[in-house]
Amino acid sequence: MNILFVDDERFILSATERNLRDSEWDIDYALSGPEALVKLSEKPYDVVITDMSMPAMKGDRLLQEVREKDASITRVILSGHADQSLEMGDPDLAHRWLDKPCDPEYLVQVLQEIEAERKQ
Amino acid sequence: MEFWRFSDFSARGYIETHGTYDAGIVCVSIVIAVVSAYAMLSLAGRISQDIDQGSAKKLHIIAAMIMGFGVWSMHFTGMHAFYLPYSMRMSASLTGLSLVPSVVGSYFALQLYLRKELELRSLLLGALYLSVGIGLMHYLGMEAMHYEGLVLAYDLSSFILSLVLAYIFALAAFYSRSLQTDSKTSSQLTAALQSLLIGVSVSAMHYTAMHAAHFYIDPTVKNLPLEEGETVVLSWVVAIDIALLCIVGVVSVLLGMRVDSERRKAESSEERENAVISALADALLVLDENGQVGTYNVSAQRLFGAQHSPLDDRNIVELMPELGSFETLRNWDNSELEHGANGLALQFSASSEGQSPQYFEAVFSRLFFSEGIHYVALIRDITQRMQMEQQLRQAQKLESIGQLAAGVAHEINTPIQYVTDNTSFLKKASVKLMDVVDKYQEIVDECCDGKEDPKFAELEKFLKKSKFDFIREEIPISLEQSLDGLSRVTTIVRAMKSFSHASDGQFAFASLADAINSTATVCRNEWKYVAELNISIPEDLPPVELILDEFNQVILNMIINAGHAIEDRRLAEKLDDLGKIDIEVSVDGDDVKIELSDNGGGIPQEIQDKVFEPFFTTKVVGKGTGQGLNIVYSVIVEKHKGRIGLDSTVGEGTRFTLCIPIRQTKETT
Repeated sequence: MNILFVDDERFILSATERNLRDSEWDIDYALSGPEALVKLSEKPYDVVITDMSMPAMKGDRLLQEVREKDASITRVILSGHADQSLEMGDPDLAHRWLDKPCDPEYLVQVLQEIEAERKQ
Repeated sequence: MEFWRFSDFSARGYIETHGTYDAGIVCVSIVIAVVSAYAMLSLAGRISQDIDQGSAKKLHIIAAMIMGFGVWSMHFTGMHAFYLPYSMRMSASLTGLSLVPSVVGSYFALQLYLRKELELRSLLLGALYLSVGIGLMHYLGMEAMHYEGLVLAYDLSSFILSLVLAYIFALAAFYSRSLQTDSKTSSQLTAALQSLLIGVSVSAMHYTAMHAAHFYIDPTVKNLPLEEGETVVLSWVVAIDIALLCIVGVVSVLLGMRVDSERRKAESSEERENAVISALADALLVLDENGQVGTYNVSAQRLFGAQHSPLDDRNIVELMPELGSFETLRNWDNSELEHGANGLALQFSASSEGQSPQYFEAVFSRLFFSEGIHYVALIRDITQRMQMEQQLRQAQKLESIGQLAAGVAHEINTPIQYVTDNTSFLKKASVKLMDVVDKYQEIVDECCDGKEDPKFAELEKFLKKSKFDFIREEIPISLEQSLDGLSRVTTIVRAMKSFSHASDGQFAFASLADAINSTATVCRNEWKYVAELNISIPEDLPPVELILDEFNQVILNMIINAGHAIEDRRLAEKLDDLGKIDIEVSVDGDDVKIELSDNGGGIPQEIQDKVFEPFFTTKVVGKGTGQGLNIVYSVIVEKHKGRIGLDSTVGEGTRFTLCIPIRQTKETT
């Protein structure tokens, strides 16, 4: 399973990378929406996990682009922003919504669930 | 030399002849004098009311003419009452001319009469103008009449007496004017008295003068012509009398109507103003230049008057001690009070034992009258406004705190995320690291079987020095504890986020458990040193329609209050044990019931019905504003259409029961 992780905070990406190093998944990391879009055009991904509030391109815009490009990619939000409902103007924006901070074991669990769903 | 009218004709052989009087016509003449005087005085009364200069002048002239005509008409009516059986001619020019002095005299007399303050000089002079006018008119009028063959002469003493009488009565009329007060009833009476006096002045003058007049028959004239054409003169006199009475009648009716309607208007407008003042919700006090209360309304009585004691002549400083001294008002321009658009403003509060305080705002304004300065105090109950302002301030404070908290939470979340990630990585990594160390140990043990190997001894020594066993034991524990701490920070930040959620006054379905738990977390510092907090919420509780942030505020206020109640009791009874705060949630029909109980000091029975009032507090200054339970009431009862129950026993504790509908809107089927 190919996973793309998007967050503007470098330490979050590196910490996640550390934790997921021994997983069997192929994980790439992008520091911004535009960088993520470039990566998406280079390689097929199964899952995109993104932060919401980022400079340049916000998470919701990125996920809209992803959905237009390939609706079969599983879209996940990992955000520390105050309120889900306020940003869920578009209920179809993401398949999953994870609250920051998110326990790494829980993240792994969620990814395993997604993998199982996708195999069906 | 002797003036011919005062000659003694009888000495010259003239024979005096005597006329007769018709009593009825005499009466009519007196009535005419009185009526025209009354008409003049009524007009004068009208002039003295504030009407414009132009119409005052016109009315003045009309009044003088009516009076002049009245005197004139009285004279000729009186002459008509007098009968001599001889032929008489009247000179039209002199008759007309005789009108002039009475009109002019009345005009000048009236001018003085109209003065506000009637000092002695104008009093004497006014009466003089009037009486001279009357006298001149009379004697000129006498000259206008000529009996063929008869000579007219006056008795000097009676002549003088006639003028003196005219003057005395006119003086009396003027004098009673100077006595006149402002009150309406007496003015009517004095006007009647004055017109009577003027009428008597005119008539007395006339008939005394007639007494002074003597008619002599010229002995040289033969065939004295007898009366003829009397009817012509009579009809003229009657016509003039009737015309005069008509004019007087019309003038006084019009005037009366006008005065009446104006008085009615003035009275009804005064009545209306009084009604408005007494109906004012604001208290109104009118103070004199020393601050003594003059006029005041019902609200002022209610506000300041203890046991129906009247406020008359009480001093404003006594009623409103917050003023300090009356100098605060007297010294207007340098007053310490706030200078507002409408005058000086002062806010003060009044509170009595066991009552909620009330807040007032007094606005003072100054009025300048000819008799001195008056102050008007308008006092308004601003308790409700203060309450709204305080609530608004509180809401704004919470809103900005909420925004800040949400921002801070977001900022904290990012580092927490990677600190948590890294710590859990370290936890996993440290386990593996220890495995690696174990493996090395195992290999070393196998390779260096001989304990004599100095390298082995060095290793042993090094491990001991770096307290490796201790490290090995503590690393997993410390990482575990760090993760626990991180998860607590996460919980707090999440609670902060949830608590600071801005609802903008909108209802939305929310989890009551989340709301209560996060609020309890946020305010943990308020209760954790005084009480244990137990929250019991059924797992299957449905979402409740709430204005979430306001509901959170309610729970916060109630937990803080419970904490304070327990703290006070612990201090008072020197207890060491922690108190207990229990929050129990259950479903009760269509409502959800939240029972919040504490084992604090309890609320005395007599103030239980006051605790929800705004600004009511028993806490010391700085600890309570008297707003907490008022907000609870307004949010639960007014906004969520719920109910609040209070059950408290002094020395045992307090239980508040909040019931709110699960759904605000009835489901449409």
